[in-house]
Amino acid sequence: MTQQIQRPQQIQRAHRISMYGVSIALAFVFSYIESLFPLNIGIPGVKFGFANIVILLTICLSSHIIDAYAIAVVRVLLVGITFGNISTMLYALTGTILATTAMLIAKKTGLFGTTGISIIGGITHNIGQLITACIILSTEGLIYYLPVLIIAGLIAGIVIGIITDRCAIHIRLSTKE
Amino acid sequence: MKKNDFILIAIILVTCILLSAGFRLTQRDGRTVRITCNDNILGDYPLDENNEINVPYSNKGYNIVSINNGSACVTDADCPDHICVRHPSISSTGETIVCLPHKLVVKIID
Repeated sequence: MTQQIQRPQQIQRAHRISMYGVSIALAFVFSYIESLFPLNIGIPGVKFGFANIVILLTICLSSHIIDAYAIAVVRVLLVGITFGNISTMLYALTGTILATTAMLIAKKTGLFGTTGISIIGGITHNIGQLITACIILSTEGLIYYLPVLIIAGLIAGIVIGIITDRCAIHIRLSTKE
Repeated sequence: MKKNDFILIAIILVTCILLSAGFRLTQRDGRTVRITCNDNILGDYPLDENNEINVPYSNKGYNIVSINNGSACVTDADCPDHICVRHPSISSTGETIVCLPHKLVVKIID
């Protein structure tokens, strides 16, 4: 077992700041690349969400819950402003905040592995977006999309979870001095 | 993958199947489609009359809703994502096609 080295607070803070920079930039680029390959089905909100790899990693590796929220929210704002889609940014914002909250709670209970947390995040994200759409469009009929969105969130969650799990192992190995 | 992850997946799949079945059982073939833009009902159209409706959005956007052979779909739009155009046609009660940027809801109401 490797020892836990107590790093001075300044180094910890600098490490955290640089992780913020790297994470937000990476999440942003993931979002952009994903937007280049749209899935060709007619249901709004179905996507893999590769940017969530970064957010999930932050949740698993960081001990401060504000980190995950900060990176998730800033990413959504950046993507919305850069690609000019402010009106649809609202859906992504509620989805992300709800999903991050659900994932943090799931992590806290310790019941689920990385993939389980990712699944919970993916499904919550889609349900959050669906509820937002129902409210904005005053249409409860949108609930018919629930099974599709749950399955989409499930599949994306599994894929993202497996990828993140592999990444987390390597990151943990490389940060042990 | 912990054991709980698999239990979670199983519960989700079962819930989905039950939801889907429930929805299918309560759906019937539709007869009328309602077009709503920004919470304003623009009109109800019968599904048995072929029709093409141009729905303007404020003064710079549009969606074209087509009714053909008992089903409705969006055939053209100038929204940025075109999700509404790619959506398959709808014909059962409760089904909807939405265009989020244009606040358009095409819904089979009966």
